[in-house]
Amino acid sequence: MTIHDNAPLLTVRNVRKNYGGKAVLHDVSFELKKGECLGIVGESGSGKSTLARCLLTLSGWDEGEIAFRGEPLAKASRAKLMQVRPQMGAVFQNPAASLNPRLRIIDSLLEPLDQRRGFRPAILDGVPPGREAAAAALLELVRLPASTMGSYPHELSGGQKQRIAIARAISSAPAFLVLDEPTASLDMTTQAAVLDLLKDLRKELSLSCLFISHDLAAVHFMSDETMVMRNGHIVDRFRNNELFDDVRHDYTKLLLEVFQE
Amino acid sequence: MNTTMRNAGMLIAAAAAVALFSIPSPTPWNPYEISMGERLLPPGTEHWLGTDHLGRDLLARIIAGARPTIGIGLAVLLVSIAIGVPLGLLSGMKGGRTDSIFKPIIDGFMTFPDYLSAIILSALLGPGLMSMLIAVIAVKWVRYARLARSVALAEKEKDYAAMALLSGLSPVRLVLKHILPHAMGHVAALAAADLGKIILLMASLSYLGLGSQPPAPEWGSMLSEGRAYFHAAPHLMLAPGLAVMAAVLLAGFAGNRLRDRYDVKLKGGAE
Repeated sequence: MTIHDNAPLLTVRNVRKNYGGKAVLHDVSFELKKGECLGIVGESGSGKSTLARCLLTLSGWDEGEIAFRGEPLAKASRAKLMQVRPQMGAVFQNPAASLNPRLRIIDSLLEPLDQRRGFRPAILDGVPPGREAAAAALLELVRLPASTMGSYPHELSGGQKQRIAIARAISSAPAFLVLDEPTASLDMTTQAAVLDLLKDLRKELSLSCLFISHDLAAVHFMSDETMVMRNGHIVDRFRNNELFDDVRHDYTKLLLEVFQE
Repeated sequence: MNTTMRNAGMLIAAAAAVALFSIPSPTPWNPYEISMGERLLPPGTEHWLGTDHLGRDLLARIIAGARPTIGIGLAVLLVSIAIGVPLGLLSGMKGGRTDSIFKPIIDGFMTFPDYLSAIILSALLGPGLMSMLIAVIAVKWVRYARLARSVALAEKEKDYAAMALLSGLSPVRLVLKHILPHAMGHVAALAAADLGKIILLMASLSYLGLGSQPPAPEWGSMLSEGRAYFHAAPHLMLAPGLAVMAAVLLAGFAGNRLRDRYDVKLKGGAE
């Protein structure tokens, strides 16, 4: 199914989710268009990751609707979800938990492609057939040597594992990518390197993404537009060039002060 | 324990298992043949381990008893794993109502000590090999269920499981590809310790007269029979007792090696 370039890729309407009787998402609504990168910033517990898991259909929600390419997902069958999920990619916060410790890197890296036999993403155009060639090309894309493919996760650093998680997430050319605090557990130097890599890949592959972080600077660096979440509410939304406008929400101003420091 | 010792232990256990199930008994004596003229003979050149209270060759009976004792122990272990692991994985992965049904059952079984439960069950079912098997399996499966459930609960929340689902894996494939292999490392470690315990438990039940019945040469029942003659002929208890000890030790060696095979941190991949 193809969509018009201006049609939203992802539509979120009045989504509400409760945990143990307490609402953790309140009437969250937004749209994500193709090629757009939307940032979500907020403190721990503001509902960012919960929202991400709902968007990825890994977690349910209680009210409202999430539609992917115009198709509502709230009551989608398991078969439908298995069809939709491979069109989404994710990079999570903890690189140590992102790779199955029992599998060699090549097997984790190529799992999305192994699941979609016969599918060849555009990023592998010109790459010779075969698993090793595909793995080497994906590793090169995230600036890792091909020899990494034979390793186990425990033999790699956190930054290397996160690069592999990124390569894996983009391997099947997902329609949109959720980057859920992908630099939070990395040291400062590696954070900068991973952010640079993500920004380059975003430009190179025209990725549509949702970049989640508690760090306004990182969100500002990566995204075109930013939403500010607090206690499960979206309290502010602005394009990046509007960040310094006076009309911002008080909480955004607070984040901005930290950012400017 | 270093790799050489682990490998040696595994090799001895493997050789013993192969010998046990493939080589015919090296003694010329029939383990069931009664010879009242040769009662309670001490170990000697003719009867290497001596004879029992009915004049039967003890070595022949130890060898004949190895197959039922270890074979049945292995079978009980495998059946317990085959029942416990899938149920535990199902409970842990499904969560919700399914888990709320299984969890109290698992916790309930775990409340009672193995020996007490097995003795009560065996007594309720009546003496005999089949009753003993059912009793031991009923006691043991729950440990594997609990282990598999806890692995499933922990692993399903990890990001790699979420990423596998995003790759298009069905929940069943997720379990088979990612969760089950993870659980099997822990199961191997538990099974390593458990085979010895099962052999001991079955020997204990037979010793109490609840397991295999005479004249079957099962090690536990041999211990039980030898008890009455312990002062006059201690070899009647020593021989099967040492055989149980050797089997438990070898099972431990084999289990440790098996557990190491599942420990990915002992493997290196990068060239």
